[in-house]
Amino acid sequence: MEKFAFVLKRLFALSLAVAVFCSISTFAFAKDEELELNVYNWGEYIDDGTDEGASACDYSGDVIKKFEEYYKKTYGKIVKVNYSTFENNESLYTKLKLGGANYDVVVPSDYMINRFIKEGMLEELDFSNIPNYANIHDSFKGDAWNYDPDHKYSVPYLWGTVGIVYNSKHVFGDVSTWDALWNKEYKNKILMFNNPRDTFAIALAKLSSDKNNESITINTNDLSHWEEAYKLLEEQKPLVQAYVTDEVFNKMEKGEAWLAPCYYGDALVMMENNKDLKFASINNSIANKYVDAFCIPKGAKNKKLAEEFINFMCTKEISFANACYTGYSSPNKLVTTDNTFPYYQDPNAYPADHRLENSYDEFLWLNPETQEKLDDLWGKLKKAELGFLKYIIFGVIAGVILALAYVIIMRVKKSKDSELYDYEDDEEEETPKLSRKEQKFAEEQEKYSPILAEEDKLE
Amino acid sequence: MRLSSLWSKMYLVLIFVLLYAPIAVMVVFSFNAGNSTAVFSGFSLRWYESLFRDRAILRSLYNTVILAFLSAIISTVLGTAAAVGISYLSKWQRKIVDTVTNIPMMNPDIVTGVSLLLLFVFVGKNLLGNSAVLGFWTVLISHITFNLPYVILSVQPALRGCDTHLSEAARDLGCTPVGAFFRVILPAISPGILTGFIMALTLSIDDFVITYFTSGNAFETLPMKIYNMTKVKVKPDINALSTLMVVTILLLLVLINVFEARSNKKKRR
Repeated sequence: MEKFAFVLKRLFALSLAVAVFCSISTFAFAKDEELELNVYNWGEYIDDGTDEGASACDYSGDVIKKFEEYYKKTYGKIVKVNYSTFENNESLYTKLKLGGANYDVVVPSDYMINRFIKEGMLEELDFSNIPNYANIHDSFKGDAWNYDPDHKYSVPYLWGTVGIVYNSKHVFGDVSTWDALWNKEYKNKILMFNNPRDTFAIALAKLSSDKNNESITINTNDLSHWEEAYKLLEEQKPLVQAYVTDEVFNKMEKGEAWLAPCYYGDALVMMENNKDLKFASINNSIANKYVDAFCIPKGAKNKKLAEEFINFMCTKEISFANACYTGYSSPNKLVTTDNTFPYYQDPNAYPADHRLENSYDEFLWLNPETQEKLDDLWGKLKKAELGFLKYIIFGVIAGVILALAYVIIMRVKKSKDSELYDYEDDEEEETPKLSRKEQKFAEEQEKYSPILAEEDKLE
Repeated sequence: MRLSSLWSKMYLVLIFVLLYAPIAVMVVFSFNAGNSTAVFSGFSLRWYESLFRDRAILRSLYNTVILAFLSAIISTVLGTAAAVGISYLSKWQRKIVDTVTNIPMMNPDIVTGVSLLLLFVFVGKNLLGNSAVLGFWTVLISHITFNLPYVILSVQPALRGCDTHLSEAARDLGCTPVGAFFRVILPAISPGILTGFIMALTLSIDDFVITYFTSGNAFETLPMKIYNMTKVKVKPDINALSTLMVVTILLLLVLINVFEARSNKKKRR
């Protein structure tokens, strides 16, 4: 025990010293003249140089490191990029709204950019610092995309479309329509998005093409449309195995589910792991297209440096590397016209322009009343129906109460019994019963004991 | 008699399987040649190679370990001092202090996280003039805050079991009060302190919610990094990292047990 305490003390002191040294060395070496750029992007959404060998493409490598090297070479100064990640637009919004952390470059999705612009949370970009903006496809600068109406606040980074990934071994028939997800033949093998806007978009699109009504869009502020879409989803609910986020990968790859809506970039990952999976884009109704774009939050400290970074990300080599690593579509026309690009002319990754404009719609920020309605309906849809489970839970609780009652009654009974304990029965048992031999020995002892006692006195 | 012990053994095996099955699956899939966690497509070490090339993950691992050790050490020192002080209070004072100490433990993480965030932003805006205060130091302060109750809770039982008259006896024999504390009391409660330290360490490594709310631009810990991958897909080099962590901890535990067994053997001789 002493040795243990000795070792403990030394170990304690050593780890203390190590920790103090490490922390000092990290934070003492941050010099003031060093430029810092704070970038906040989606997780796993940039080439970080970990793809190597067969899975790497031309130009692949750590993009952040390349930017730091590029900056040093061009301007002779050292810049440190603090790269952190978020996993959904809402938490990005919360972080920016609460303050406390300042970011120079953020990469929100279309509808969140729409919201930021409406709330005045973004800086207008100075495009004279971003000459590579010319590399971005013209379709992103026109009317096909409406999230940034004047195209003043953002530069597209990666984009994509939603379609259906399906297991060709079990699914036959037409998969290029949203009706496939309402097909009773695939009961309990259908997955849906676990997020209100994506799921309702599918229902609204189906509603729009069923009723042949173009005013029903995925951004409609007419509350009756949302109610009708909810009815469709309610109809579909018994056929749905689960509402999923990244569980979709495992479920489709293992063959647990056969149909799921997903982004094409994700479908590529799934198809790599299960050769039976195929991707179908939607032909007869609207599907969701999305774009994630670079923005600079209002009040950012290093605006020029941020624009420099955005400019660097729009170069051909970097866009190529990022699109190749993540599997999503690049808005850079130098990449899409390069025939060495792995997804060159892939109609799922790069649908024709007219299709992109007419058959795909991006999300915009909804009015507060619509948002409230949506939250309400989504809550109703996801409400767990206990049904059979109710009885089990009731049974378990009843069982536990009964068991407790039994134990308590037993205890009370035992303590009551001990009060009525008969002391008379006790006395008979006090003298232990002796065996035959011991009895004989005791008799002998009694016979000779006076003689023995006298002998003791003489000694 | 034998039959019931067979049943209890089977039950034990079942519990262990339930506890360790996820870890076993993770270890197996860290050697997966493909990038799926559902389909095993062959044995390969590619995720271990990828792990050592991934700067971001290694950086967040480094951050996590430094944060854990620093916050554990500081909260152990503070917590031990607090527990010793509390043991000298009167009964009612002690009850009050105990209740107050338990508040961070009872609060849901999200309440602690958000309230600390608002506190830091408030202090930053009004006292420091710069609201962008979130970073390593705010995370460290938050971790110490929620680790303290656990350390105090671990040290108090050891203090109760230890005879305080011992320190009086030491002083009678000529020891200074400080010396009496360090040479008599501290070694006696060292198991409690060690438990508190390890608990603080574990809680710190494991914490997600509080770290998420109080961290800033540059400081990301491992749980945050993994969570942020879930939108796209968690890359399997996390499996490789987790396997390495599990193996390290397992080795440490084995070493500690062997060491203790040896020292017990020596005592018996």
